[in-house]
Amino acid sequence: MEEPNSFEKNIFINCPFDNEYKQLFRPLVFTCIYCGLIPQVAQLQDAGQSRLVNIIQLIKNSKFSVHDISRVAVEKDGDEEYARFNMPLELGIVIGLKNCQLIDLKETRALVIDTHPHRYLKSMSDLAGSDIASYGKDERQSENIVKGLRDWFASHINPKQFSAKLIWAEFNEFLSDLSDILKKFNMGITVKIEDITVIEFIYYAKEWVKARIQE
Amino acid sequence: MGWFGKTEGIKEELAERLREASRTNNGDIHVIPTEGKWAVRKEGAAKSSKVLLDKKDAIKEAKELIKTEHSKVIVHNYDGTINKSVE
Repeated sequence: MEEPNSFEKNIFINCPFDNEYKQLFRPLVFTCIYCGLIPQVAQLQDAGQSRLVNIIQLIKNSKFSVHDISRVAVEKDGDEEYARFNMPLELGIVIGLKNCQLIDLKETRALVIDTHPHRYLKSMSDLAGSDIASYGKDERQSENIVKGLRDWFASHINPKQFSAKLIWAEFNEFLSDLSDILKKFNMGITVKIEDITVIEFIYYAKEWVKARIQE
Repeated sequence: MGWFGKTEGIKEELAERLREASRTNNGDIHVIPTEGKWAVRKEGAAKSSKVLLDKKDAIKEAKELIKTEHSKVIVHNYDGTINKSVE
């Protein structure tokens, strides 16, 4: 259970939740947790409500949000071509709520992340002037996400943050501990980090970080 | 629903082991890709012991830092996952 009235620490995570994105999701949420924030993802909410209602509630409960818009490029699925609009849609909800003053415009902050530094100028040029960070398309994406988020937190939340290098090293150590424990824990089946769901990963990262730096 | 299903006991047992691992230093040495180089870091250390250009040199350096027979060198992938463990 999340602690009540955690608005000041909540960060709404707007990103893909598929297997392909897991290698970026993991450093993204770990950095949030290591910097003292509480990730809010739609999958944590009650199954009884519609997904969009859940998302709006999470946004209203979060002072911060991070939006990965890297999937806006058109993809091919057989003969069909499509683009994924969930992330831009949810970013639009944040902007809409802010500007209707349903959430406090001065209080909340949003970071938009993408693989390319200036692609949004072509796909969503109205975002000009927003906080944007790019993490590239090469093998250092995971490390770049840690640095991009940490630097944004240092600029907009608290300048006294752990260094990006330390958070990256700690993330590596956490994954090492997690995979080691999964390997040694006899459950009758082989469980790997890739099998861990979004919600499970957040839970285990919180527990590891809490024991590491908060106890 | 994750692999542990509704078994809260397993989830909590794993969390307890993780908390314990987080607090404990078992002397492992990590080789981590960092800023285009390879950082050699003792478990839980605030800073890297060495940063080297070549991965093989970093693994060699890490092996020399091992102090106990139960410790190992853990080489990481670019996404932080484990590439291999060297006893």
